Amino acid sequence: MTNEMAESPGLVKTLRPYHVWALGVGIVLVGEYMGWNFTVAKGGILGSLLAMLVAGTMYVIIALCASELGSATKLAGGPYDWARLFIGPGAAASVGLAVYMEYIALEAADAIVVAFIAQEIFPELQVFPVTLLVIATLTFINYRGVVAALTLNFFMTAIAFLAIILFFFSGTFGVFELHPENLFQGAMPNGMIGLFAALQFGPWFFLGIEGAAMCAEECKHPARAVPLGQQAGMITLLVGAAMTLFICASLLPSNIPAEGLGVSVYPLFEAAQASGVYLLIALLGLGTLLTCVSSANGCVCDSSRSWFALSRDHFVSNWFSSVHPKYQTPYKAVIFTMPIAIAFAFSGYLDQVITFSIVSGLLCYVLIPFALLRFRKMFPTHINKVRPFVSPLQPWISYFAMAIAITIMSTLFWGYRYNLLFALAFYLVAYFYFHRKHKKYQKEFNWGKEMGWPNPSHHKPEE
Amino acid sequence: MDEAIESRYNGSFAKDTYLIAGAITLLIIVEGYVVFTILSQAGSAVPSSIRGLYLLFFGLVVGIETIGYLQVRKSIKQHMFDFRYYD
Repeated sequence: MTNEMAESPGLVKTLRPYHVWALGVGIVLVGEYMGWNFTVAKGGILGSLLAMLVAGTMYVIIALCASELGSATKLAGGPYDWARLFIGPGAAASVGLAVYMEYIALEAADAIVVAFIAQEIFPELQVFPVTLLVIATLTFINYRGVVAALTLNFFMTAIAFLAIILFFFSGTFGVFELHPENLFQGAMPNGMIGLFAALQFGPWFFLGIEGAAMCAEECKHPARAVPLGQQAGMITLLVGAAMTLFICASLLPSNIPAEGLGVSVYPLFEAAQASGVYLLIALLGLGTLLTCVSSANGCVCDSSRSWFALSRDHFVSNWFSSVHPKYQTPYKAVIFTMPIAIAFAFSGYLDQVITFSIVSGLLCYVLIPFALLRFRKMFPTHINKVRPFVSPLQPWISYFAMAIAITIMSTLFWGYRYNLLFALAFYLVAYFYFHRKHKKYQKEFNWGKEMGWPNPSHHKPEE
Repeated sequence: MDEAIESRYNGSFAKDTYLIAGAITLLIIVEGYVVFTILSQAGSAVPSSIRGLYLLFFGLVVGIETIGYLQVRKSIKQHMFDFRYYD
């Protein structure tokens, strides 16, 4: 640790469980307003249902692993710090970069969608300046303080989620007519192969929920806030995903893969339009806009924390590890998200950027359970000081989650072969580069001083 | 331990318990309704062996999340006084 770091103030510790919920759900809920329906284009309604259940199982396990690791380590880097502590520097840098890329790419995509929605409402607006304005505004909010940023996320996310709930119950209680025949007609247009091809878009329902644990260092009581907020977030997403799939599939036709639900840009909004209820149309339109903004907002928060953590440990320039003396935010890391997000947004390859984000996420979903397995091996006794929350059914569910993540990654070969190979090569190069670079900073890790923990079980005292 | 503090802690813990119980109930009802409605309408399009896959993953999602969230409640109950969760 440098003198600069030792003298600089730490991150403010004020966040509560609802902030954790807002961060996690805020990032992810946009995937239920748009994007998930590509599962329908591949595998029909049954393909989408299978993708939702399989990806849901994986994310439930990942969220439990993240809750245990986040409440134990209480560090801002999240997956990066878990890999650093329990796997090694090469894996840590790869995961840190993967998290950074995952969220920055998502932020760029969200900002562009906000700009397109704004242009649809006000046709005189241009996409380019509005995208810049969205990115700059969210960066400024995150620069000023994490509490304000996540409180804003809480309200935006709550409105968007309540819109889904109201839409679902309006449909099931007969406020408007559902078309159950759509479910059978669009059940499986591409046969059995479509069922498994649909898995590649399953993560859209939940992509990024592990990021909820990345505010652990800024929580007042991380051992309560992280597991309680993150699991509430996971249930919110499972409920939202099921409601969204059901209501959209019952209102929009999906029997022809090239038309209808499978290719809709804003499926929930279009389903609301099909219901013909003006209040719901307005509410779901507002929800679409708010989820994009809250997702981009949460992405600025998480990507900056990942970069901050990488910087704090010298993986990237230590200059980014400063904490603002007044706002107690990692302000240089926050500001640095802006040029990168803008570069992603105007690269002209948005679909490639999104695919890169998904592959980055899947890489994390292999390494997060692996980090938990290593953590339990290094600290096998469940003492409260090390592990206040103990996730159940381990280690079996961790192995299962890793198997699902690898299976979903392999389905990307249908259509995204080169993206997958490029992303894997990128992280492999990053692994060896950072492993080599980090060697000169490597030292005997002092668990007592750095974490307040006893030495791990494999630790050998110096002769 | 001061009786007033203990009572306040028990009250706050009860709120967490209601949140956990409510969330699990909502999950089971909504997920169950959607999965079984879609399978009853469209399930005949797939062989029965594949239908079993849906039921397996439905059980895993709901089962693991329920056990996990109950474990969160257990953890809060165990540590709420040590870590002063409700101060």
